[in-house]
Amino acid sequence: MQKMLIAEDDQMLQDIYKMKFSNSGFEVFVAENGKVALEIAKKEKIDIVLTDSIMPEMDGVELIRNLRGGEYDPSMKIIMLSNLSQKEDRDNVMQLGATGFIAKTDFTPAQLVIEVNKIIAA
Amino acid sequence: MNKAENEQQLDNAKSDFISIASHQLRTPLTAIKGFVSLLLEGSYGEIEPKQAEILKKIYDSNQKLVSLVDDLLNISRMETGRMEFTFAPCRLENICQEVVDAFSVSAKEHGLHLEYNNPGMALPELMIDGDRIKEVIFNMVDNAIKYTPKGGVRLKIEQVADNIRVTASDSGIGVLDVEMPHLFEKFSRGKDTKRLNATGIGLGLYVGKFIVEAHGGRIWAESEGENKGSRFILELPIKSKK
Repeated sequence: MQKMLIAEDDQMLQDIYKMKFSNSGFEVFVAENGKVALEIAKKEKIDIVLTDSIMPEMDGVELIRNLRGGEYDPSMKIIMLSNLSQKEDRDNVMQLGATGFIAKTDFTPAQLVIEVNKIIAA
Repeated sequence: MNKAENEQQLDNAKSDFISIASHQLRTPLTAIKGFVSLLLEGSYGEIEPKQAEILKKIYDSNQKLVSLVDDLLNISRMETGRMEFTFAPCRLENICQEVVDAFSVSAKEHGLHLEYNNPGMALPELMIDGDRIKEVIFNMVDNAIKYTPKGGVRLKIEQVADNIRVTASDSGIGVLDVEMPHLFEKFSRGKDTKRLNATGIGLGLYVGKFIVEAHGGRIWAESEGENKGSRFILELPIKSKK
């Protein structure tokens, strides 16, 4: 089973994603910010990270920068789920080494699972 | 700092506020969309048809809020010069087809015919921001359906001289002479709420005009008057001025 780490500060969205991705065959870990996410990534061999952009303590951009800093498995897939959908935000995140970028308001949870699967299969 | 700079700074502050507020608004809206979708999918157990119907209404209302927030975000981007365009070769007839497909169910629910007249041949490709132009055409058809109590809506695409023209015509309530000059202004909604029994805050056409003009094109409306229907026409140059 693939291990997925979800970094999302909104409790409700965290619940939704956890439920949907657990039901879709992933082993899901959740974190309320980038800092907590990094701690989990140190302990678990995470395959996929889904991260929000704006979070307290450590935001999504900082999390990606850390995850791509050399200490972690470079084959880890990292997808940003954001409400910032401007091209500049996307470009910035992709340059940092993200695998994908999804504007979360555009998708229902079921569609989100499909999108994520598409990105990790590519 | 002179007066103009001062005003510019105030304008930027206002737009930053709108932008942040919009992002904050989107988070709970995304959660509502998520939970309602999960309920509808039966993730929390089976639901009765009547309950599903109500949930669908909550979902639709939420989607309306999402697009209002999007409009506000667009306005803040426009007014601070931060709206970006990604120009790429696009076939406008495909975009029109996608828009018509997206509305087929809602037109039927309103008891309206929705027709698409495509030219039956390939039109020249355009260098446009396909997503943004799709938003504009989507809005044209959405308005046509909203303001047409009975009859139908037709979307037509054709080449007219050096332009590609898209026309959304309807058999709806029409546009009054007094309304016509203000249609594309910000927050312009007809004041006669009895006549215009529809939702929206009057940003769609304002944003649409900005997008179309950024492509070197134009958008305008024509109507013979009250209850005589209207036509919203969009023209984009084949040789883009990008």
